[in-house]
Amino acid sequence: MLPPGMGYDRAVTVFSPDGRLYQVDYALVLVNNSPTAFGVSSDKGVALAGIEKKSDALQDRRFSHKIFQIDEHVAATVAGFSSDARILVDQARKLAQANRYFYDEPIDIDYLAKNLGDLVQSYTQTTAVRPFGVSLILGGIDLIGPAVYQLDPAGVYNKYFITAAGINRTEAIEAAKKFYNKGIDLDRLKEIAIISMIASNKTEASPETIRLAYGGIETRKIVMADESEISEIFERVKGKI
Amino acid sequence: MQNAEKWGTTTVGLVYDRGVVFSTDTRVIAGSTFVAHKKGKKVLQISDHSAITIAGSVAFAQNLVDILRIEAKTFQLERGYEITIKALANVASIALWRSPPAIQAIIGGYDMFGPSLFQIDPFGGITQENFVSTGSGSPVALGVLESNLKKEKVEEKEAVEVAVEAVLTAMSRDTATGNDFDVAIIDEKGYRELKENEKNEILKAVKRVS
Repeated sequence: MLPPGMGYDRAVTVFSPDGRLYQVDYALVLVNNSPTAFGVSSDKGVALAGIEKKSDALQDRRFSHKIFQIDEHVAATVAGFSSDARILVDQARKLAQANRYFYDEPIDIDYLAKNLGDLVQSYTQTTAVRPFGVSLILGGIDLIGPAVYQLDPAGVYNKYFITAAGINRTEAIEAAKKFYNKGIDLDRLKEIAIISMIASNKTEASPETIRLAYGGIETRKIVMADESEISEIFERVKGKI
Repeated sequence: MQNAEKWGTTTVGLVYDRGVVFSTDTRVIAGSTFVAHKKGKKVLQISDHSAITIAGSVAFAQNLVDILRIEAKTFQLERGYEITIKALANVASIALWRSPPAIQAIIGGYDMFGPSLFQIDPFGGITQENFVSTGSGSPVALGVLESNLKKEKVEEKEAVEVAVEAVLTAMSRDTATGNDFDVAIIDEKGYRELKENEKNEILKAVKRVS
């Protein structure tokens, strides 16, 4: 008996008769069931957030695989296999530093997303490999201004004001939309990021499980929030939802 | 620059309130005394809003210009905006650092941060400048620039006149500098070179006694 994909999910490079790459679809299923990742940008800055649960009480919570610093001005949050994410993050960091060497400028987030997208795409068209099981949300402030991009396992990327990946991403986006306009300042962006995490992860969201990174146009730097800052914002916004 | 006489020419670049002005002579020297060409172009456009002046080996200089034009065009297509002047100067510095010391360059233009100007030395070192000169006539030209640019910001007309004055003075005191001069201006609207009639107007304004 043939498997559900009628055999068309046996190799990533083979299209099904209805025009799908099943392995890419399955990668998306994995991403959609992973802990939430979120990004928001306005004219004033960007914020990235994610939920990172620790399965073992003996794990050190200060160690994170949810939000990665790519360069001074850009960070990435991921949903999916964190091991796959690491490959993209390594590549992103190298690209960012190569850009500084060659142009003496911070890398454009658009160009970074495109380059990573090219890498991810090659894993949908090469034999004997599987696609990346990860969606990456890049956020930062380049020469053009604040920007958030999302890249999916197909290698498709887009620019967003608000985006989310992973489980309950629709709830995260809907909650953020209620408080959003394009002119909001950095404090508001941070609040929206935390609100979206609480709205999408009603039982899991807490200052211990939420990760947050943010940056404004004044500093043009992305920084990671520590637990005390997240806790302070968490207490301030939890009544708003 | 040490051994300035090695680079038989005079090129001048300066920043004014809304752009950048370049002026150069047009004499091309072969060996130490022979004038190989009387109308050599030493200021060259790179992109819509950037240009370079060259002093030294013509072959190296033309190759550098080719590299920078390709780089600027590719950058524009891939990123959707024109390369910044600082980034362009950095690309040039890498190219010069990787090759034997054969040229001096001034790169300048107008980008999202406004006008800016960079000198690249033969080994690839970059310095940002408000006014600068390269070539064998540069000690003479710099004297003119230094004594005439005392204000914080000058306007286009004054900037062009001072740049031309500097090159003309070098032409009269440096044998490797001469024949004619070129002027290029880059502002928000882009790159343009002055035509013969415009240059004649400036000559009248400068009114040099030789």
